[in-house]
Amino acid sequence: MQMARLEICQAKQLRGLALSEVKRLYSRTLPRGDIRDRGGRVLARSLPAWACFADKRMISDGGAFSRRVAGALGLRPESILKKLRSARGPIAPLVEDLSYEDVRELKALTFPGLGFIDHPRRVYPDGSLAAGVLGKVSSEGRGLSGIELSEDATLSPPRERFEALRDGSGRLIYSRADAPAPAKSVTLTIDRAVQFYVEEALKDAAARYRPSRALAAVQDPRNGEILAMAAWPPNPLKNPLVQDVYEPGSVFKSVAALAALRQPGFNPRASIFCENGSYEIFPKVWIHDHDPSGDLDLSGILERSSNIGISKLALGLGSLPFYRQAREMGFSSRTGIGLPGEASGELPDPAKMPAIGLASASYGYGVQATALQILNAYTAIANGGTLWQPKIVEDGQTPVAVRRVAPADLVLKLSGMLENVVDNGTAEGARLPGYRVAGKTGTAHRIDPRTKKYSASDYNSTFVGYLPASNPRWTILVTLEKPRRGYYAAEVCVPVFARIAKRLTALEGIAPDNPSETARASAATGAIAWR
Amino acid sequence: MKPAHERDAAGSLGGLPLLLAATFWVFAMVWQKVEATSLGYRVTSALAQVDLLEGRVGELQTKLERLRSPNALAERAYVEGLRPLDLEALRVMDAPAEPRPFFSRFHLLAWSSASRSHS
Repeated sequence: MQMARLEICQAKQLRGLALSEVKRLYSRTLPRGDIRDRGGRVLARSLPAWACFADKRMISDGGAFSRRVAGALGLRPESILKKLRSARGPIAPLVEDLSYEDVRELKALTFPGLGFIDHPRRVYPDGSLAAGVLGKVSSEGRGLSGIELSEDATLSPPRERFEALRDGSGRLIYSRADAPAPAKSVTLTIDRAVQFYVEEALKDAAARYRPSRALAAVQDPRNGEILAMAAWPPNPLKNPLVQDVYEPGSVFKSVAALAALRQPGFNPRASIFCENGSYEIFPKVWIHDHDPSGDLDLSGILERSSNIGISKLALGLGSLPFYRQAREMGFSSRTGIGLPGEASGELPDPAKMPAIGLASASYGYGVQATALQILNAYTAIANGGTLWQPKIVEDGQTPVAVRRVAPADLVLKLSGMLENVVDNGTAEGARLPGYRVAGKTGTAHRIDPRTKKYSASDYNSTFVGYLPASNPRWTILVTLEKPRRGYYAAEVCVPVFARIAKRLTALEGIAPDNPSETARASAATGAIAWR
Repeated sequence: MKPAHERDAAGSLGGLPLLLAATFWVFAMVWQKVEATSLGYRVTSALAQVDLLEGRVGELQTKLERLRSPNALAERAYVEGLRPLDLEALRVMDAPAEPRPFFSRFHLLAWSSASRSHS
């Protein structure tokens, strides 16, 4: 009767009770997706790691246990004992991030009370390469910054849930899991080699010129893809090229120049008197040029970077055409690159912009822009007028052309003037034998946060250029903040640009587009010199 | 009716096959369970091994990536005495009228050695 009662009447209930003793629902985190560069090389990957813990319920003598396992774990016995005593529950964490080999060796030694739990660990095989772009993950494996954050939904795997039966020793007898799809990888447009060259150049510039921060980026003008984006010092929690704004200085002169070119009847060869370097533009308001000049045409204004010349031009244009041109070139709006925390920058309201504001905005003061906006604007000049939405994640979609910034023939005219800046103007150091290079320097005073006035000693120095100018392959921007040894962009940024440009032309094997210049070079022809 | 001693013998013999059958049946039922449990252990152990080995593969791939990283390559090249190419040291002989890409990363070296043999 008793047997019948147990086996038949209470069978289901008792079976459930028995199973609940041995069957559990478990879950575990699968590895996070990889982040790769455009060549498929891994920039970030999740690897299994094991955390080692002690189960205090299985340890009778903490001291003896500590002495036994200390050597194997690479810890001091006192440290292990301290961890055992300070643990609140029965489980005392001992070591994180053990590798497969470590765990295999430790398991072979069979210490009762010593357990292992696996958890994914995020590794970056190239160290801090592209740290600001890649970002960082939290200890729970969720993105905190950079691509790890913006692509978190793609990279994060679902948790795997499974039922398991355990025997009396705690070993799994059987488990049943619904295998979820693994996390997807994300491929970037970043080229690991180009990124390395850029970071190497920035590190060198930091050692030479002692800036507080250095930024550099490389973009492909043909499609807007970002090939490299770097900041020194590297910081995985912040990407200043998209998150921070600054007054761009004279690199902004191209905006006024292009706006002027678009004006009907404007003659780019017409002379503008640049007051021999000092100009009282309004009563008691003076503008100075670094390189005093008399009459200059538009090309001359850009070559010599005349603040007086460009401000006279801008005042003749009026605030609305200038503002419109700046907006069309992407300033004061986010580029749409998709990285977290992107700033939009700022342009003064044209309706409320006083004349002095327009004059100073024409040479890059009183406006705020990110490094990426400046780079993207010059990319539009490089490719004949197409403003791209910058791309950093290779998603298989065609590049997005946002708008045309100006008619192609006018952009080409401006590009020719920017070539003159390199050939004859402030950026002669950017010349590469055999290649046509175009670009613009910019050196702007920084605002002292204590006095809220422009500092006499702190500058943001920027050079942005592209090459080969006949068919541009790269737009390169370099910015140094508060350089201490020299501050003119021609001194501190142009050499960095030249170094990056040289590496890129060698890397890609781009043939010179100005071979006549190369033929004028000195002897020792036909040889590669190794130092 | 059979004699008592024959009845006793028949009774005891009749119980043995039943007992054997019952034993065999219990054993067969239990054996399946034992086999299933044993298989379960083996499967679970194999799955754990798969996880471990996949992790090991990942570690080795990461190690390879580290060895091939630009930083590591640059350091090894420096130790070997190699220095980056200086573009200014490169001269173009008989440059074509139209710029066309004739360099590749490997042709660069081949061209240079051919040029040295001509100069």
